[in-house]
Amino acid sequence: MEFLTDSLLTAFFLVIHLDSELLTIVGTSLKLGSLSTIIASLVGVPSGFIIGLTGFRGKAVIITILNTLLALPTVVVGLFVYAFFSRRGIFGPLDMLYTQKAVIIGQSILIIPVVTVFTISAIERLDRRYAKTAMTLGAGRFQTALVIFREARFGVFAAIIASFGRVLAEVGVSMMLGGNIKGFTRTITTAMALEYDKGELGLAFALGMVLMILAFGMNLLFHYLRGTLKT
Amino acid sequence: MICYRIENLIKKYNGQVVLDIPDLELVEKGFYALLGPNGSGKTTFLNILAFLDKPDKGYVHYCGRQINGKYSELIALRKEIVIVDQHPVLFSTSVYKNVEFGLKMHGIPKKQRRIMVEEALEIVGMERFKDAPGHKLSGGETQRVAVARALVLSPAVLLCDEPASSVDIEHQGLISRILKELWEEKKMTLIFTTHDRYHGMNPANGSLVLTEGKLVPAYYENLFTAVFEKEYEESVEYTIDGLLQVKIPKDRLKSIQEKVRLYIDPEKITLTPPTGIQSHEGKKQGHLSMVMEQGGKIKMLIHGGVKITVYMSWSEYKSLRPAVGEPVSFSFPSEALFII
Repeated sequence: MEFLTDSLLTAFFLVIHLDSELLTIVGTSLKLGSLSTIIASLVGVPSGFIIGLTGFRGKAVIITILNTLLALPTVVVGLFVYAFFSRRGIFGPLDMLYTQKAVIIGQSILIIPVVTVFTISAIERLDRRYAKTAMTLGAGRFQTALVIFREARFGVFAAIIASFGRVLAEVGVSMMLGGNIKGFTRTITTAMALEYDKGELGLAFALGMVLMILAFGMNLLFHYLRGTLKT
Repeated sequence: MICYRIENLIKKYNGQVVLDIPDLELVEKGFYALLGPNGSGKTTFLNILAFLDKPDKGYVHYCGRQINGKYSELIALRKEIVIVDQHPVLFSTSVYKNVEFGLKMHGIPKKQRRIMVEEALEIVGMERFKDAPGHKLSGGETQRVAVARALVLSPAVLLCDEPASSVDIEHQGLISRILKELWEEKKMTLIFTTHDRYHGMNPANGSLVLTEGKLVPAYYENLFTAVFEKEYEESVEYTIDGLLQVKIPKDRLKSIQEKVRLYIDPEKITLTPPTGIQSHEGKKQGHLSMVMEQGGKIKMLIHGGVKITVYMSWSEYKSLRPAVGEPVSFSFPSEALFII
């Protein structure tokens, strides 16, 4: 019992005093997570938009595959990308393994399906009358698409926030592609795994708290956006 | 000038024909009502007239041109024809920007847009709501902004789908008045649908009635299914709901069928005070259940076993003055009957 209370106290102390190691780790997580979310959004939002708006052969198949990828374990993505970036892999000569770039690539691959699927559903859920109204008022294809995007923006933001959350909480990709290098690729989750291995739970608990605060903050942001966008 | 000419138009949904109009002409700057019960194909027809939907077969001619549905052609047409939905949606921007949207699409400069938007909002009495968020308005307000958003474009054709349906009674009159005034002032082609004749605005170019996707020649009130009863030398007797006997001359029937759909033209029914003699030849008995004024005429609803609607002129009404609840006799010539 003493172990737990001691660890929690240490954790609390670290968070309150903004411990520099803690900050570096959180900073790395946020930086890598943000960059991969931006990349995934740049790919996923337009693809989701196009898939959601158009009807084509094989659309159902694509959506089913994307939904399967949603549930993909992070270690599978990690392993897969590792196979490409390891010394013996195709991209081995690029020497990118255990770098931030590798983590960002892996995380982007992990969440592109998340952004895409949620964007598709946001577009498909949108009332068809918006498109009809834009068209009857003289909008062409491109302008109609802009209207649809504007009306579906809440759903698209939700997609982006959800994928950012997934990236922050994942451990498989960061560990296998980043290698948990201190001050470089050590993220909240990989640091927690390490501290757990070491049997020192103070920092691990502190990181856990930060993770929960971040999750809470993202939910707040999400509800704030919904509030300002919807009403 | 002919605005629309419809040629052998067929529209199907899931293999089922929902619209079948072999031939129809609508004049330019005309004012039409499209009547019919829910599900009769009114909205589908309006969407086709707005060039937002394509017929599966047949052609729509607009201003003498056959429209083939090329993208550039449709875009140009939609700049002349605007539809206002039954339950319109406003974009989640301000009321002002909602009305401005179409003008932007039409490439009107900003300064002019401002004047036009303000004028349009004033016509529908929504200028106070200029900065309000569009998606927060009530049904009636939304409808008015939607009308403003359409009329600001000064379309050659304005199509309104059930313009009064999502609006309370007070605003129904307002919307009707706005549309009528618009048509009188701007002289556009105006077509609106309604499932309820009470909301009819006495359109100058008459009413089109759709039933099950087909245009029918009469009012859709007094539309009955009649069952074969007896055959006479020159006519056939049918009964409506087992209560109202109707004699149809044989020359009006192609063949004697077990069941026929028929209309009784409400303007050709004559009312007489009850004679007291039951079952007088050709005269039916009933009692008056409703009287109202509509479009300069008197509309009555008579319960004669089945509900029959009768239209009569003011002068006729004044000479009879039947009271609600009292028994009345009515009769109609065989010309009042339409078999479909």
